[in-house]
Amino acid sequence: MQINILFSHISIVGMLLLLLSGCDRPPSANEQKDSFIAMGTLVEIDLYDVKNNEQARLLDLAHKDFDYLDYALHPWRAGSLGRVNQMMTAAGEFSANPVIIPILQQAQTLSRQSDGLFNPAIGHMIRLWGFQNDELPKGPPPEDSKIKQLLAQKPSMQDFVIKGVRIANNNEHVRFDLGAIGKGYAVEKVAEHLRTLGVTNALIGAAGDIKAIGRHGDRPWKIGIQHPRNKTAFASIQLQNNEAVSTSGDYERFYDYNGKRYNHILDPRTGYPANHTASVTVIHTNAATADAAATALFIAGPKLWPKIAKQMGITDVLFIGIDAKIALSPGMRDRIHFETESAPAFEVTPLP
Amino acid sequence: MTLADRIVLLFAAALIIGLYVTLWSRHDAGTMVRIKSNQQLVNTVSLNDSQEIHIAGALGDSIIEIKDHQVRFRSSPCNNKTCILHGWMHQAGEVMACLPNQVIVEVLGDNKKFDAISF
Repeated sequence: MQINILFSHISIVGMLLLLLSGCDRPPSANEQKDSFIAMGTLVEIDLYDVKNNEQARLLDLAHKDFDYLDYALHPWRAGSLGRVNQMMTAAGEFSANPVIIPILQQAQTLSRQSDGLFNPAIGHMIRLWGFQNDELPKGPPPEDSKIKQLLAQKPSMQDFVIKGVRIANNNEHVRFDLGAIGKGYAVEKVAEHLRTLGVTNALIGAAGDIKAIGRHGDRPWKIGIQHPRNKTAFASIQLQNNEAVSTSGDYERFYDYNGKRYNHILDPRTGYPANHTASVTVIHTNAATADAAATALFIAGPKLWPKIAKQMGITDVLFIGIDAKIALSPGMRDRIHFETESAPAFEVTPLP
Repeated sequence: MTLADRIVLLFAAALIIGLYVTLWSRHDAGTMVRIKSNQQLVNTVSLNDSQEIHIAGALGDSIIEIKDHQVRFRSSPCNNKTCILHGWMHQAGEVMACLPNQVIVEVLGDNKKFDAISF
């Protein structure tokens, strides 16, 4: 009798173990992730389902692309854009390195669509504030008279004409600083390059600018969105193939001086940091467009952002005001997932 | 059913639950820490081993602290101290860099909550 009971107990344990084995974990993925510092920020590249003997070469090529674009797009060093900025000191026509032409053309279009809120022609103003350096300025902020002086020069992305590789400049005060589009542009170019090399599943990110190729195995890529006032990801979205997400926030680069915060996103209408917004997240198929739009909507503020989003072709927007109020475009409402225990209060703002 | 029988069954059930939690459940806690400096891998250590690691960077030494299955920049020669203000990390996939000192700290693990963070 005792033996029978023992057998029955062993059988029960055995069956439970068999039941457990049915809940098999998914096989370990062939995933390779690398991170490095380029363009003054942290770059992360995630390759999924790429042959082991190809991973290192692809990551190295992507790294080299970022380094080259860092050289090409830096506004003041002796690279392609630095040379263009030298030539912009006088009105007239000159030849530019061809690598710089597509991004300047795209920036012109995006600037026009944003009613000039995205304005990479204010390089002098950005330099005056000291935000072009990798190392953050400590203050004090620039003198108001100097800011007003630069504003009066009215540098605009419509002050020059591009014909082929020739740039005809009509405003000697234009200096390009592509900080609000450069990382997104680089992410887009690296994604394009990886696709041509046969990569079908990857995630390329430079700080807030992230682009998806394909999927993460049997699911889309999942991106956390950082809350502007604590360092947790309070929400998430799934990126479909060829989609990009970009976030601009007042917490990314800033300094405090005499109890006041000065963030790095300058309003080209005032010459001072835009101070009505805490963060903006947008989704678009082009990472450079998403990058520029996030900046433009940040500057636009709580009243103007729907109009600017519409003009820039952006449908998915998460806008958090300086008062911490959350607004979602209808497109973003349908795809955002809040990671907090209870969803925060938000309002849905239709685009015009 | 005797008391001994009940104890055996209780133990078996506890064993099954314990095995499920440790082996099958999807948790996002990291297991390892990877540290890079000046674009080179310099150390990969367990998140379970509490210790302080001195990493030579572009400006000087960053001190990385691992404690209670978390990791953080404890000190850094950079000016703005953004890396220190970031605080502790423990989730698989979390990454923090001290850009001026060119030091990157990543939390590794199988079950990431997110593939990347947009910030």
